[in-house]
Amino acid sequence: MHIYEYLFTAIIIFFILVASSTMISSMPQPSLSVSEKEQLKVATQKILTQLILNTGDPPDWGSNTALDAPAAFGLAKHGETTRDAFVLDPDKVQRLSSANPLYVTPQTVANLLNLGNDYGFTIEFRQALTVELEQTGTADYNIQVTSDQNSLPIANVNVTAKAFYYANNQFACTGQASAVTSIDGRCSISFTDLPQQTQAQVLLVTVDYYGTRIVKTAVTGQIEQAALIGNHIVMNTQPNQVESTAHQVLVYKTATGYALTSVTSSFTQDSNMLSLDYAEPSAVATITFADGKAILAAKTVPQRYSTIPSATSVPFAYTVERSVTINGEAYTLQLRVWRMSW
Amino acid sequence: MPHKTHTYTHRGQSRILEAVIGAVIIFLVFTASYYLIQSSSSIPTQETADLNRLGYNVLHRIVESDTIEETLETQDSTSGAASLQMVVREALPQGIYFNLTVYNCTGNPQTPFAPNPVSVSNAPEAEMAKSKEVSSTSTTYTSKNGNIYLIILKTARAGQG
Repeated sequence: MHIYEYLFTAIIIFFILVASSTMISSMPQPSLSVSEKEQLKVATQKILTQLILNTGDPPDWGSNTALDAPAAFGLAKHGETTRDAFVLDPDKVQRLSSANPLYVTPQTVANLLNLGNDYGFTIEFRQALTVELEQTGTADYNIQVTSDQNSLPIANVNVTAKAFYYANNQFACTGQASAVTSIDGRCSISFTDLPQQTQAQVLLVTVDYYGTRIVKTAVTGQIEQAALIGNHIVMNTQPNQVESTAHQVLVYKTATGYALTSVTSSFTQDSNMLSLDYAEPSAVATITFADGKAILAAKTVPQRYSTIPSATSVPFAYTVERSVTINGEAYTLQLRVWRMSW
Repeated sequence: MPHKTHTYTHRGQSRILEAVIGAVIIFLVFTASYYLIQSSSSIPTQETADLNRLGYNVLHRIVESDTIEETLETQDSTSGAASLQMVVREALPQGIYFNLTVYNCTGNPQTPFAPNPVSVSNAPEAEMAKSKEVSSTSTTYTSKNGNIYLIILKTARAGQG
């Protein structure tokens, strides 16, 4: 065998090795990235299913003020006999609000979902319709309803409103006012029986668009916001003189539309917590009076809940949206999940 | 001696030929496996599964919120269909084409595909047919007025046609 044959064979082997290594490194890359994206999609779907269809453990962990965090995480509403799909427990959802005294941190949720440091996530709650309230006079309000997705005005929306107020330290409410939005998505509501001078005033507006319901509140006067967790009103500070009763504001559907009314409940006080004897299931807010100002306790739905609160967008994230119902209101839940390292 | 040299030359040439054939075979194997891996991608299957989940979610919202009663049963067919289209459009994320067909099969549930169904869509004509992946989800719904409906929601991602 001549030397040139050895050289020629060596060159061929060298080229085979180079070509093979190039193909090995380049070939699986698209498949690898597809596989990783598919894994992210599957992980996101599983997390979403856990969030919106699982109650967590214990099932009433949202309203249990003795619990800082659940043993297993899930936001679905628990029912003793039946359970609706895509219906979330408002007490569990408001635990995701940083304003809530029993706030559950995203890191805790990530650990409960067994995500560890591998994945990051953002949960966004958007109301199905955007409702804006503008006070134009003492008893006059402009209401505008627009689409959540493209901000286009929505016509033929049924709007029902009622004002609850304190005047001379007495709780009272106006009559119920109704209107329908015109083609520009606007309507006006006026209360003829609202006093000129009130200590505190809570306007409650219910918007109904062919079954899609949104409830909005607007407050004026001396009002302190508090959290309504289960049947507990949790205030920021301990009040000295509290009214003997609380007023639960209810919104429920009737044959002709929506009814807004209030019922009176008694409670017991323990430090900065008022425990109602009974919490109405359809209550959207509870109002009481303490130290010369009104206390408005409502269940707040956070707009955004994220493991990286400052990040507005994350590259290579997978996003899933679902329509959910929270306290009878229609929301769009958007879950965005990403890998912390690729 | 010349005979021996001739034999060595033949042996060398056959080894070169072996190496070349080996390289070609390796190249073919890699190329074939590359295309096999690519074609077995599970993206379309996953895509349809995603749309199915979304479709059932939207159908659930439509039937749970009394939308059928408030659109098709309380308005005339034209304005009821227009209202229904707006509600479905609001319920679905942007970038999704839909076609919702509502069959009123009251009194005749054995043949649910009654004539003259109410059909609403946001997709340009024939766009759904051109889409690569179309999800179809359906549900049967009895309204509070006792009417029985078969509701079929087809969804597809925009821009696939």
